[in-house]
Amino acid sequence: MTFRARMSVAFMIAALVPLAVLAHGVRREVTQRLTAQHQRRVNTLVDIVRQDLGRESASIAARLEILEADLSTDDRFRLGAVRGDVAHRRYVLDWAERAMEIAGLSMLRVYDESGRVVSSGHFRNEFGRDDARLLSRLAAAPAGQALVRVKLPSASFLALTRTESVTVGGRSFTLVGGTTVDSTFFTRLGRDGELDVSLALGEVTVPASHAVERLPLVYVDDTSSNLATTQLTIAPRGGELETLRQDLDRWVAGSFVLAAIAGVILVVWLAAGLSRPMATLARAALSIDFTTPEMDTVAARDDEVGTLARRFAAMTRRLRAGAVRLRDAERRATVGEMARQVNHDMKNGLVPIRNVVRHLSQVQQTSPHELATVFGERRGTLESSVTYLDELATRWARLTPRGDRLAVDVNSIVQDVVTATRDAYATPIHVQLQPDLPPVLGDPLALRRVLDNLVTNALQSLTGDSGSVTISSQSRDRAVRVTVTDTGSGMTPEQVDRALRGFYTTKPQGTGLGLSVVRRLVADHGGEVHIDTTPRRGTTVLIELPAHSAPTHRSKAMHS
Amino acid sequence: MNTLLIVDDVRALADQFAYDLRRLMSAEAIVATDGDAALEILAREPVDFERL
Repeated sequence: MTFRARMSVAFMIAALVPLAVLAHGVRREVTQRLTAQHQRRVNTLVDIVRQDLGRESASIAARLEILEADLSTDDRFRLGAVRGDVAHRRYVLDWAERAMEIAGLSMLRVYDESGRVVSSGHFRNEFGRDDARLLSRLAAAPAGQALVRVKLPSASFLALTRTESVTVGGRSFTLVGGTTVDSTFFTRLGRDGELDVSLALGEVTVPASHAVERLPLVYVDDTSSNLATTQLTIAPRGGELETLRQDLDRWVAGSFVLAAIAGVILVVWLAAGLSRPMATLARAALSIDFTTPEMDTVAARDDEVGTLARRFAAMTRRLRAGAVRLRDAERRATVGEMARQVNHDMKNGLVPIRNVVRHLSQVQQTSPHELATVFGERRGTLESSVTYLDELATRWARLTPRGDRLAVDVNSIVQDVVTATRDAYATPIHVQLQPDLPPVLGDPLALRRVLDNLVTNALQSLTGDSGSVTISSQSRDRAVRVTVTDTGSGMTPEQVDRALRGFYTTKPQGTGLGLSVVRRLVADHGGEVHIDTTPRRGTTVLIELPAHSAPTHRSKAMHS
Repeated sequence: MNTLLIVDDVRALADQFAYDLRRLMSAEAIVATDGDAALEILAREPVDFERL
């Protein structure tokens, strides 16, 4: 999993989950508080509605009391209703209608002791109708207050009613009067539209989360033999609470989504800000080059990554300085070893000359007549010593490198070496060169000498007519690699060690400096030599040189 | 007379040793400049002393 993916997952766990829990908690808490606040408000309004109903009921009762007082002294009603005087019968029938209008009631009836209608505010022909069952139900209602459905020929309406007893001429009558319960009534109860007041028969199930209150009332219907319960349902108009909840949900969800998007953008930005310089560090560490412009940008940061980059760069500088010192020490050690070898070789050539000269001097002093004979005998020694010293001087001259540094095409040098050596050897040389090989900054002559040595060593290591030599080139990790492989005699680890230290050879005409010179020249170019060899199976020598990005110097051009 | 085999990769040195041995010790000295030549001489000639 990449560093960026890890940060994203960590952000999901560490930030989004708590944010979601917080959003849920805030929503639940605010919802509960809003509901409670609305419930308190509704309860207050319900109390007001209950008081309004009580006042309406008391108003009806008061008007009935006035009518009762008036009726108890109404002589014409007494004559018509108690005495049965026909002349006053019309007055009795019309009394309820007149009284209803005067008292401002919506319905008014007068019943006798048996529950028969004596006078009705709406119909004369209701006279004598038996309503004893209705009266008995109204008598059972608390405080005589009930809702009564009043039927008319064309329609019916609900009325909030009260009852009042009255005695006229020794007989007992009952007054039932009320006011209409309709939409106007509910609107008045609803405090000018602030509340929704409606009437529902039976039990109404209302969700507990809704700020709704119910006010039970007794309901009387002609078709029912029992008192029924009806309820006034009271709730804030227009679903105000539900609207608030929906608004709250939208705000909470929107805030959460915005926070999540902002968080994701932030974590992607942070992850990119960390992973990009770390990738640059990784690339720089791979090539051990902390001096690129990209690395300079990373090192300029004032955070931990910048500190790490600067420390890496400082460490690389120390390593490079150490490598330079090590290379110088190695070079000095090599030069010292070469100087000792030169001293030894020169002494090998000079000692015989000195001895011959001493011998000739001795002969001249003791036996001058034999001097010519002895000189003739020793002349061969003198000549061989001079020849030896002359050859030695020639070999040392071949080891002196030039200091030119150019962008060199290694493939071109390989082809030149192969062309030059193919004519001298019958052994097949296989060449596998990578096209577009990056150039190497170096001395073309020195690199030519390196490849000359390696190819010649490989060819000379072959025994008999069998075997082959393969030369290949390739670029990897900002380096150029050249591999020379033979199927020759190979070397033991001790032989490799001695060959690298120099002055060791198995060839009659060799200087014993081939591989040591190769190693030194490659080291001068900032490269390395790796040898993989097995006795009687062959040797592979790999030289690795730092690639250079400048234009290539062709070997052919160098030769011209 | 003893026969000595002188082996040295510097021909002048080997000749020098051989001449002095012949002159001073009146010995027979044979010269070889590499190991293969020395082994061939040893296989062919009776040698009393070797100096490598």
